[in-house]
Amino acid sequence: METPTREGRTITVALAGQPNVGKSTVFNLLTGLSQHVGNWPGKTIEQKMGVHHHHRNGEDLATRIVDLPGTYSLTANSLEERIARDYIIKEHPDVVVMIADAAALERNLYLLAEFLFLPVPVVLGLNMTDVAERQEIHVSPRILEAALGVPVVPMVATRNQGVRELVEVVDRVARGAVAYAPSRPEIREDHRAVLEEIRNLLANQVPEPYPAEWVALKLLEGDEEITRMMQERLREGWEAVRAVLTRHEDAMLAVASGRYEWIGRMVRAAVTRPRVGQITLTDRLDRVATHPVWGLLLLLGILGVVFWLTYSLGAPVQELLDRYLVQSGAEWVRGMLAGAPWWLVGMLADGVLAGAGTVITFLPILVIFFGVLGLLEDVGYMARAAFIMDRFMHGIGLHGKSFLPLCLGFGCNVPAVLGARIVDSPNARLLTILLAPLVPCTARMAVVAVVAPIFFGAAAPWVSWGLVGLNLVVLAVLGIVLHRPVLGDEHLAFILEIPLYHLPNLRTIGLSVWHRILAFLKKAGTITLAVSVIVWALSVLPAGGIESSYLVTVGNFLAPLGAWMGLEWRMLVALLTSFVAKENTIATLGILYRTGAEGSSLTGALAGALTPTTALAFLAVQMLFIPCAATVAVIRQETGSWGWTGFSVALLAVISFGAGIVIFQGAALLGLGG
Amino acid sequence: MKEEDYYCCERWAGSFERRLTLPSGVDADKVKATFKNGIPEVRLPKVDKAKGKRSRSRPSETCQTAGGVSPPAVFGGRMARTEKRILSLGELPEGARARLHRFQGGREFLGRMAALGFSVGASLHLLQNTGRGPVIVLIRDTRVALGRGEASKVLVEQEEGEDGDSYP
Repeated sequence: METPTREGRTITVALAGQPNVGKSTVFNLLTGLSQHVGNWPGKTIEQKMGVHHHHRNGEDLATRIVDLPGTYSLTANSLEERIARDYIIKEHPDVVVMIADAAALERNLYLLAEFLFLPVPVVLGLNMTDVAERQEIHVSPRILEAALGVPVVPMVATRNQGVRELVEVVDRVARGAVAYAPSRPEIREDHRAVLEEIRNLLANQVPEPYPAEWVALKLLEGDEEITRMMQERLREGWEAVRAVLTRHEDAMLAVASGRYEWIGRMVRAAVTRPRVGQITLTDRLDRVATHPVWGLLLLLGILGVVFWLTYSLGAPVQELLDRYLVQSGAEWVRGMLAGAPWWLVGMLADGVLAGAGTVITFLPILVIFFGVLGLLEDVGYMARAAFIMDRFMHGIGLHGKSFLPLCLGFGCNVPAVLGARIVDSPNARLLTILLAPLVPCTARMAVVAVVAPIFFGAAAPWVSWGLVGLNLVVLAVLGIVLHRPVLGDEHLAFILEIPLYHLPNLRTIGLSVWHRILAFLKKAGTITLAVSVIVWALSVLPAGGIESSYLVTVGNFLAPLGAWMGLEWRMLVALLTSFVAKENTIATLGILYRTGAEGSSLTGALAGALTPTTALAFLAVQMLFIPCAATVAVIRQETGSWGWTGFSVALLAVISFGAGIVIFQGAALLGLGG
Repeated sequence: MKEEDYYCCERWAGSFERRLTLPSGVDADKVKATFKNGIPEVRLPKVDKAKGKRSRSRPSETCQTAGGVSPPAVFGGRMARTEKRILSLGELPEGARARLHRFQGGREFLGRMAALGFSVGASLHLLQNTGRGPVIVLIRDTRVALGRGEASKVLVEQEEGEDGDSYP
């Protein structure tokens, strides 16, 4: 329910701020579960909106909250920055709420300095005042407010303090009940005349709704987007502007200096701090966490615990769900629909439940995995992991920021591909997306967990780790090979804020898990479901039995290729159905090998049909095989290109079959039998 | 001072800078600068191999002297002499404090760095520099990790007194 205000419309508030200032905590507090997560129009950047309800004089008021991407500034260096400023200039919200970290106020005010030139009133939410106090940094909101000429509301969002006051102030500003006269930074003295000159040259040529002052400043900063816009607008008049700009190529320095000079004046009276720096808890922890040796060992230890937790807690639940949800569910369907046509029963039991249903059983594993990773992210550890991994990632043409998305891949490749959004450079993002499917997900590990013990007995764990190692080696080699063609000579700048450690916020972690799981469920409910039904249809058409189905025809067609790897058609068909979802491999093997006799086990049938060598070749191919349908769909969505999606699939098909051939033929050469 | 007639007297006022990279490490504690009869002299004793611990972390010590050149001795000379070491962030030893001197990089780099708190004149504290891999800088209460390439593009002026006394 959106109730119009007295002016007859809903107030829209844009929530802005630099990364790691608790902006998402504030957004979650304001909007609760009314959030809508989508993408900014035409962009692969997440857009979050929500509605906040509060009361004024007994009247229920609704405020629309738009969460802008977290950015350090509003220059057009990144897509996020462009989205944030375009939204303010073109959509013109009623109020901008900028959340600032009181413990790093000077840096935060740099973003405010940029917002003050845009034609929307700003309210400063001074967050994390508790963190600042702990470091003996005291900020007086009243003095800061008087200096800035902008309403300042002190907050501790993690303890829900100051949020109600923030809403009240926003409400007053939106109604025009607060005099709004901000102090604005000026460019450094030696460049004031130049700025004036450009403003005069622009005259009245600045298109609506851009503020002329801001455009002149952005031209001096060398902002490409604004430069292009004004060049097209001014045509022959541009030459004069260009001449001035060329004479002052270093103006960005003057702009930045001017802003920090202004910031210095703003905080001088409002902030008191200890003269000598404190050795904070963060510094003490980082002596280990960012140490080149101890930090790496700590990271390996933490990852070890994450995997141990995930599998020791999640795997038994997954098995239970598989038994009671999928298998009992299929029996129940058969029982309930005894009189229904065979194809309906088959489609529901063998298609929908065995395909999409099995995917759902992996939920507990994913919830635990994403929960623990979300916790590490929220306390601030993942930035340290990125820092530690940076030197290794450089070897494969990427940098530390790609570590988190690749790490998510151990859970499920879908959020891994989506997670590549945090990588700044578009080319590096593409490379991360291309490498992500090589990270073995839980579903592939489940196949290994079932098949390896049948053939390798006590050595099964070693085989499993060896297969994971193989995937990571292939990932590294592929990174080394691909980074030149994909990145060219682009130098990847590694500039990463290392936030202070802080106590985890369960609500934030919960929401991050929920959004990642939701992406997974959406794919399971759409793509995986559709492909499950199609593959099931191929396995029974045209005659009704799998032995004479189209799937077998395809398997026979591929048999010559399979012979190179020592794999018969049934194994190939199992691989093909893994395209629906990796764990389907087991289900398909079950259907294909459990022929005839009721009760014969898959284990026995497989042990009779395969040798350890062919089993190893099969597992290696399975681990490296083309991504599942859901992953392919997100690769297409994130790269925006069928070409790269096709390339990714073809590349992995070649690599996986190549690995299978090498293992099988290699073993044959060594006389290990085939 | 004697007063004498002269035919021509020229005087150039202002400051100048001369920078050179030295071939070997310098013992920073024993650097001496004097200014006599209008001639500035800076002595940079080479580091003693046995006590070489400190200089190893500064492979390319750079010396800079700022001052004015005075006219002939009769006019005397009085000017501020400061001594600074300008080096890149990657060359700054771990734990050192410094002031940001200059950027070597394009406008985009400058813009990104400015938004993270890096501006000319800002005090910073190099928290970690192991000689390889990225460094961690504390600037304006923000910890920032910078790759080697980025660190080499930030020139700083090291401040004496390595621990604690010059925290911003």
